[in-house]
Amino acid sequence: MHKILLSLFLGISQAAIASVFPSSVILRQSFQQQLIVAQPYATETPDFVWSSSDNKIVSVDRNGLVTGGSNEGVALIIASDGEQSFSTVVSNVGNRPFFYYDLPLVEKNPIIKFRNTVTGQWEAPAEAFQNATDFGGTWIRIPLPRFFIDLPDLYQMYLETEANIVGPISFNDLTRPQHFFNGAGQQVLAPEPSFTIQGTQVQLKGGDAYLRTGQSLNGRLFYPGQSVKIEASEPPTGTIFVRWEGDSKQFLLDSLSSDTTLLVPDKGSATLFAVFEEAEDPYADARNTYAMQCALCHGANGGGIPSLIGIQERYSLAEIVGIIDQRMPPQNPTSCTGSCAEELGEFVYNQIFEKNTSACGSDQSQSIPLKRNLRLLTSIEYLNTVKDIFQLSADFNLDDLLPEDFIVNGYRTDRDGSVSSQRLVAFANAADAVINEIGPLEDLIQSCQNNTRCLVETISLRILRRPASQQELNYFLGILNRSGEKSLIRVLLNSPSFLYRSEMGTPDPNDGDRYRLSDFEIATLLSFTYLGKAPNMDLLQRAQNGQVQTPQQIAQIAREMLNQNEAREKLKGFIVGWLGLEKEISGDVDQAFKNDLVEEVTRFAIYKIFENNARFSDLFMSSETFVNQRLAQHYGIAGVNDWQKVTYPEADRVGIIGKAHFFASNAITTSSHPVKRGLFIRRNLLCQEFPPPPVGAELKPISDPTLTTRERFEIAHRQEDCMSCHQFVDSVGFGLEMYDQLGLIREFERVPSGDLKPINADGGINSLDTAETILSAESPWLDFMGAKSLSELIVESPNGKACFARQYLRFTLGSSIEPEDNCTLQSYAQSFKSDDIPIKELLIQFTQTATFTYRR
Amino acid sequence: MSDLSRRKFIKNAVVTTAGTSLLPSSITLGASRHAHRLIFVYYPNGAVLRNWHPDRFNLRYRRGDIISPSFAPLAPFADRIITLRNLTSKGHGGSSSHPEAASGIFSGGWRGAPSIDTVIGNQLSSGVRLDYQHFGLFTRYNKGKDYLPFRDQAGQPILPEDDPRKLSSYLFPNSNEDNDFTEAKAFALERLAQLSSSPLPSDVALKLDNHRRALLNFQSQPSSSCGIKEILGMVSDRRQNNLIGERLAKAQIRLLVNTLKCQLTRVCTLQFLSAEDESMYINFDSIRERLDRSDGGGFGSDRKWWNQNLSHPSSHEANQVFQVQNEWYNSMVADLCGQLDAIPDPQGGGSLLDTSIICVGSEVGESATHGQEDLPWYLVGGANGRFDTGRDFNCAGLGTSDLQLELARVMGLNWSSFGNSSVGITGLYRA
Repeated sequence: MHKILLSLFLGISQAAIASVFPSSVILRQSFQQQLIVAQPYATETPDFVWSSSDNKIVSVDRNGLVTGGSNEGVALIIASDGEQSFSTVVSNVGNRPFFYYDLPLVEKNPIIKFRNTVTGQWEAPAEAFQNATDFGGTWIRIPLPRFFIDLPDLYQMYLETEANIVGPISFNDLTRPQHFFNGAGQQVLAPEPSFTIQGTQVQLKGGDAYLRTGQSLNGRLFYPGQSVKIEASEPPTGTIFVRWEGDSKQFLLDSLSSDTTLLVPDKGSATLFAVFEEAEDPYADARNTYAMQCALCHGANGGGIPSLIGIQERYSLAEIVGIIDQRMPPQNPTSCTGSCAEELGEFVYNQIFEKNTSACGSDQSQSIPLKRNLRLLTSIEYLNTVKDIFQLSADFNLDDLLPEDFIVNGYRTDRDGSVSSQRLVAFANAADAVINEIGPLEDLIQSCQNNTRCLVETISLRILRRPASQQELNYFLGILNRSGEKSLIRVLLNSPSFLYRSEMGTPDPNDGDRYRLSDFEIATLLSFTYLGKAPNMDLLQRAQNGQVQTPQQIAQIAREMLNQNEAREKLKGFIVGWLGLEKEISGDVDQAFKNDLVEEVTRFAIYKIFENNARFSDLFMSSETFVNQRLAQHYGIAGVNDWQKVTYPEADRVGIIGKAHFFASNAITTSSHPVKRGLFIRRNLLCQEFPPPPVGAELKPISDPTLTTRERFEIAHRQEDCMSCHQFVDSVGFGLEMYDQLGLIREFERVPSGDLKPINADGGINSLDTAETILSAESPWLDFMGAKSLSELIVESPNGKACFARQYLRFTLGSSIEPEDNCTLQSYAQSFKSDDIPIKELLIQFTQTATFTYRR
Repeated sequence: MSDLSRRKFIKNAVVTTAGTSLLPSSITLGASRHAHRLIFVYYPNGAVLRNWHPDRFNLRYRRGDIISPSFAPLAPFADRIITLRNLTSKGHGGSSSHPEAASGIFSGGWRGAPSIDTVIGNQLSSGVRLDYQHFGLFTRYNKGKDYLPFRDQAGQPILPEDDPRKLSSYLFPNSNEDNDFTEAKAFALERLAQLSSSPLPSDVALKLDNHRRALLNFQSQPSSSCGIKEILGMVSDRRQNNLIGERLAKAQIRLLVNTLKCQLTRVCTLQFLSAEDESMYINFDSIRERLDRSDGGGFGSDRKWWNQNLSHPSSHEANQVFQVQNEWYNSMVADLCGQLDAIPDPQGGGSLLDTSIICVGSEVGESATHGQEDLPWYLVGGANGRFDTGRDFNCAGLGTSDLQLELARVMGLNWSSFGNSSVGITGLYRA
């Protein structure tokens, strides 16, 4: 089916037309220019053989790089793949110098002309100006004519545009190969290479564009025909670059190279995205076996006793395999036989003790600690914390005082926020509001029995989340004596130690590149991660007693926290961001019902995770849900009065995708919206993002009232440039067309003209098993129809679980996942992905990575 | 660290972040006759250009002229307006993606770099309490921080305060409620100094420096005539806030004008929503009559909360509903102009409007295509006599970075470059 879809998207014949690009080139001797065979929608870089009709005029190398020869003249450059040949004309203007001109933007159609000072006649060169692609900007160039070079004193040169004439132009030294003039006709030094300001916008995802070196020009404009250096970004740890995709990959010199050249096509925008794949260590199992059973004697790198270094010179592969199979390890010679011995033998024979791949590996060796940071408290963290410390009433709030939080990846976070003047006042006012609510400290901390020092030590420990230093304690006692308790609380609540969650650590004596979090910082991290508030006295005391250090201690604390009610509230924040529950719903229903739609999702997810110990698949495949009377009526369930657990009566309604909220929040009021649905699945459930839409495309479905929603989108996206992204989006949304804008199952759609037309819900999805977050048109397509079959595909795919783990990490960190954090993500999510552990266990796994207690 | 070294540090940090120097390469105060203040007005999702530009080129506008359907509310100020034609964001941070455009277009074309308002404000902060001040309407319902158009000196997006009451208490605190913040401030400064005494990641250092500057700038203002006693506040329910949206906008404009009148700052922004906004229904009573059209884009009384009336969905329809939204933003700009024009500039030169620049713009051009080549931006205000107003100016393909550089020059900053621009826009103002 995907082929049908694709041809529908393309709207053109697959028998694509190829040509050599650019279509004509002017070279000076020794100049070079890249030529590329343009073959729209080629799936692989074609293997062309290049040749020149006259190598003395211009030669061409195997990559299409043409170089001016010793002779002036015109040559034909030919590219052939054995079946078809394409050619272009290249002019070599010999050793004539080029005149470069910085054309003012307001001036158009420049020409140069020469006045014979004896005859008064005007003469013009044969060539026309071309864009000076080396220098970009507004620079253009033209080779000076031979008659002027030979007799410069006989001619005066003028430059003429539609609006202006500049000249006569005088040259310092005509023997130089290049002469640069500004818009006023004055000779200037050669300009620095720079971006252009008109032409084609080059847009890269996962890479950068350069003219030569220096600043990235991603998103800038280039002249059509200009050669632009394209470099893929450093791959996320554990992955490798495999190829470029996008609507302009056919204009790349080598789409399989991370470092290549784009010949800028003549179109509004040229979009490319780098495809990375997970790097695999082919010897992962053998390496593991060697580490467990062999390294003790032979050494981690084969250099132990007896040494394995150079063993391939003494034994054949078959002999080594035989030795392992029958004799190794000596204490347990049957532990590695058959295929184990063959793999281990190959590993030893090839001497690959040092891992030479980028794979993350199970030993977490590629995990890099997260960045050190001071994370500003979010509004909810601030409120939860002060309510907990001061035992404020449940309805106490600071809504009118605290600043709004930023939203990153859908989650509320102030991780990167700082205290601006405005936030400072907001926090100061919030602190005063808290102070107005609280009673005497001795009532709050009765264990101190009115001992002032104890009161100060305890309250500062709670608020600062660490013991105060002696100097600080003296300072606090001074304030208490001088100004009273409220002043002390004001000082503490406005302190950076309260406002920021510290993840700074202290230098690790064993590794100069990393920092070890203090026990108090770990306690704080745990408490905010699972409960959304500062650590309580019990946890602070455990930190003080050195009981928040080992992975076992930390996992135990995390488990305890997940049993508390606050953990559910905290996780609701994740559910809200992950599933876009704050999005405005514009369905033609009342607000109470819209609130119900949100409530259904959060009740379901929290119940499944906390009461049902759900696995990932349960969130997608469960027919259970929670409804009230209004929702029950919507779904056609009888006998429901208030919120209760029920089972959907329809087979095609399961899990989070089957819920009415998904459909209603990704729709417009009057109809479904396949693009919104497809984008949500890609972005939220598969963590796959897209480059910007093509420049100049009409970004809406066509408005023919006789067509179904699907048809209106299909026709609108049958444009060359739309296809490169919409192939990934639309077919996902089309497969859910059996649900209307409020999520009701339908067989027909009433189109705007009033007719009833049958629903076509054939859907397709791919890129479920690519490297995480990566889209690839070469990934196989899988058919589906409806929420249940789509959910099955996502549940069974590597990328579904991987994205869920990534989303949780985004939520917990309050940021996107940096490429260098990829292996950390992999190690934390490993057992979740491979062993199908419950979601609650995944939340705990976050604490069990090798780098959890470290920062860089 | 001294003030000087801190500033140098921030500058270096910005350079590092951006990959190259965004900051102006030459900074000196120029001629004494320059604009006194600068206001950026942002609105999302572009405009319908066929209704935006005047029908003919090279027009001169007189007071009362209706420049185009979109400018109808600004007719009383037509003689103070410069409409811009062929201003491009292509190559100046523009993108066919809303968030990408929003994160670069006001920053001289450098995504994630400080925006023009904060860079100018930072350099013109002498003698005023605040480097700059931002006023928002429904910006809190943004889709993500990349959808916010303005960025601070660390390159972090700025989330403006939407609630006039909160903002009023910040800008014009009541001295009667003054709690002694002295000790809290002293301890916080001491603690920041301790934290800064060891090597820090650059982003953490910038955070702490921002915090420190905020503390140093903090002062409890005595009760002043600038304060507004009764001002509207927001509630937690988005729909309720939507219903009073126009009143909230007008309250923010009152605050903005008072902020400038009382010389708290020289640079402000007024931000209507955020890029790709799908949170606010712009269907206030003042414009309902024009929304009730039957041309496919209008709505009846039962369609008040329909998706098609939100900014982003209607922007792709480019219909009557979206057209009226554009007119509404301009009616709010007219309100701003009216208030500024009613206040004489204490430094002379006419009213506050006569001596100010208002630059109004969106992150994309033609709404249905996310156009970048002809942006619906315009200027209002006399710039203290520097602007030749009341005309249509052809930018001939020059970019938003060029305009931003030129605005900095009109503000008295003799910059030779800003972001992607080193040319400015010749002919926009009187030298």
